[in-house]
Amino acid sequence: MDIFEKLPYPGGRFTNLEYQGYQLTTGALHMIPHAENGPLGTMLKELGTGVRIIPSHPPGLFRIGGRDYEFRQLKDLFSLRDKVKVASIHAMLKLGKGGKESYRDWVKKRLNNRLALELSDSFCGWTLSIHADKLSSREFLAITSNFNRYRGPGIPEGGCGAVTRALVKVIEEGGGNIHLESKVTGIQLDGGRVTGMDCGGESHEFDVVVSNIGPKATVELCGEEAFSPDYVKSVSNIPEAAGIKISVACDRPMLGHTGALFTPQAKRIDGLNEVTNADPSLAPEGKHLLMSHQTYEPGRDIREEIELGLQDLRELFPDFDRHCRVLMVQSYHNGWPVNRTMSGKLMGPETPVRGLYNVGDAIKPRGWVETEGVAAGVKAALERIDAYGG
Amino acid sequence: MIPVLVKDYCIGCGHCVPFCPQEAITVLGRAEIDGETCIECGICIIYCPNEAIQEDGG
Repeated sequence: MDIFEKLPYPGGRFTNLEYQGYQLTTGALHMIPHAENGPLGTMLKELGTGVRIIPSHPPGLFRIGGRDYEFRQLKDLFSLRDKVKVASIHAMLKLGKGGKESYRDWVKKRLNNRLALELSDSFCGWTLSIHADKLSSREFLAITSNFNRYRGPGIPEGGCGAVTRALVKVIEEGGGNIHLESKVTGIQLDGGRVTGMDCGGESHEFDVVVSNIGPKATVELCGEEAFSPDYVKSVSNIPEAAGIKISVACDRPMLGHTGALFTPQAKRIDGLNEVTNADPSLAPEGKHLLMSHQTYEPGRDIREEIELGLQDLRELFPDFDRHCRVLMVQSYHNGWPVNRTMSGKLMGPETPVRGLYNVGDAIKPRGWVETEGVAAGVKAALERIDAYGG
Repeated sequence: MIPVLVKDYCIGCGHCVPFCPQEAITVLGRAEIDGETCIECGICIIYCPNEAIQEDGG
């Protein structure tokens, strides 16, 4: 097995960048959505990586009116009449199937309450980098079902980079080769099946090629003429999920726990975490790393969106300037997004070309978010490859 | 080798920042290279995932 990576390091948007003594991330937020219980945790265990995932306690809190609430306490914020509707929504989240309508419309139909909609947007924004109007209720209910079954998030000890390093070790010990600074420039096909790929001016023969750069870029590497116009159109129109992350150095804990803090009433920020409460090695001794995430809607002025995010931080933490320093603001969109395919826009690993498969953050089976979706997509691809016999 | 930022490609992901030995790059929605601090080592060109920093004339 050979892996070709165009960057000088493996891991793409899921590894660490050391900066001023802090382990910043190239994309993700040092969090695994279902800790050890989901597809990624299971895969890491099955591979014997030894990666330790520290479960988040509490999984998440919600800051409303300056106070933090656990999920089970949220119902207390609604009127007696709305409490009945909230209970009904909770029951449907456990038992319902949902449909094509957006999750926002689904909620609004059952409880037209501003806080309920803000909570929906905040959860979707933090978890998926899209707001509730962009997600089908069917997908949201599938996601909820997985959270009920596989529970909440965890923080990998050593951050995202520890996961990537462990996977690199597994690949290399298994005889695989990882070629860095090796940009793939073409995928070779013959008679509707893959035969190899081009890199560095050389052709390499392979009977199976697995691409993680997204279906659209994969089609471009093959040449559009190899696919039907309908398939080319379908991959060209896949919407991506974009976002902005602000990494902050703190001289004291600002959250004080290992879970997420959802911020439904902030102008832009959907949520934050403070991973150093789980793994202090992600910051210099005695310091903390706070990270915020906000959904970015392409077309909006990115500088204005960042400024609104920074305003949110100062409003959420009145002593922000006394204890905190912004380390880096990172935006993800336009070809290097949070997710190459918006959650709920499902696409399987198969392609019309025999022996060619897609994996990565564009290929997530229903109900699986972020890295769990990537791992579940990889598992699905492996099953297809085994069935193909390649 | 003079790194030139191709602004249309830069998305502000910040990957270039930690690798710059001169700390010449800042990012706020888009990377900016301080021409006075930059020593033209070209490391940022290698680390940019979106190929937004290219050699002069690249």
